[in-house]
Amino acid sequence: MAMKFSRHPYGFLGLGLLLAGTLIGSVSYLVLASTPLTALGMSAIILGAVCLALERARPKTPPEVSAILLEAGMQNIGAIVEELGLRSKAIYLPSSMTGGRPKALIPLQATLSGLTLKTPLPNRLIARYGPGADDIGLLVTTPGSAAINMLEAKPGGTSTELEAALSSVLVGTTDLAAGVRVTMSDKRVTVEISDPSMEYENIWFYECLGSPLASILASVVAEALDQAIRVAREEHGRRKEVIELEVLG
Amino acid sequence: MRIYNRYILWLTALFMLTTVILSAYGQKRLDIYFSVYLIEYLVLTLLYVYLNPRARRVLNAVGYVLFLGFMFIVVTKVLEILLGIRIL
Repeated sequence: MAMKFSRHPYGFLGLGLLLAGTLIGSVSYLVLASTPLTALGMSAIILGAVCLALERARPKTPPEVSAILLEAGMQNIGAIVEELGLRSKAIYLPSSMTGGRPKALIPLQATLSGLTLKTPLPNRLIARYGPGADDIGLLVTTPGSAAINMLEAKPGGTSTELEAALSSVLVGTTDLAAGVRVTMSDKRVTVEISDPSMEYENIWFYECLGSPLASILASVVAEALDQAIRVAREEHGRRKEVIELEVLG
Repeated sequence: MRIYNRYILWLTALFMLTTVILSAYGQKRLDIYFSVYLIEYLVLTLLYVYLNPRARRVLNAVGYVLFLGFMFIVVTKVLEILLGIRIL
């Protein structure tokens, strides 16, 4: 029973409120003839209905399972990157440059300043992005690639539209943060995340691709601006995180 | 889940405050309470624009049901005026 309760917290709360509200409301209306108590019962019924509705909207995959899958995916990519000795920062590409969903390119060259693609990159793990011998990189799917699907439409390129799209993903859908603020300047997008629920870890995956939060931001911004993006800086405060993205292209 | 919890807490606080204030002013009409609850529900749901699409859909459904209740009150009041009798 305890297991069932923890799996359906809103369901049980909603059912309890509905029953209590009906009981209080009917007794207050029919027996006590008290309007405030009847109104109290009525409000409990509305709250019960809201809780039951939210129970239906809860994600089917429990957050703990999602965390396990995310960690496994990150460790696999981290192992490949470390094994290949790649030292460069990943470049987040929009779907128009990858011919499918947005992905991250980890180039072999550590000093890649810009990226211009004439044709979309092939949908392969090892992709060639230029005519040079060293113009090869790893094209990987990141947490951000999957997060893009959570948006109802492709976001616009202004700071307000970006803020709305990022809030929808981070605050509403994934519940990774309490608030998002976006400021844009020339070739820089700075995102302030308040109360993030994921902590930064000092591992190579984070150094290369950025934290999962930065990865989601970079993918969404890359898709919105239709340009390649790199995570330039991550600052971690107690209840605030500042992530600076660099627009390449 | 944090956003759902915040939403429920805000709604509970608003409903509680409304009940306390209206009863303190001696309000005896149940339709007034219901109308204020409905307005609060609709405004708060609108403010939580970043809820995921599935949650917004189900909350909209609850909103439609509450609005039907409001329409029932309105129709009853119109009939009371037209027929000159007290229905509720």
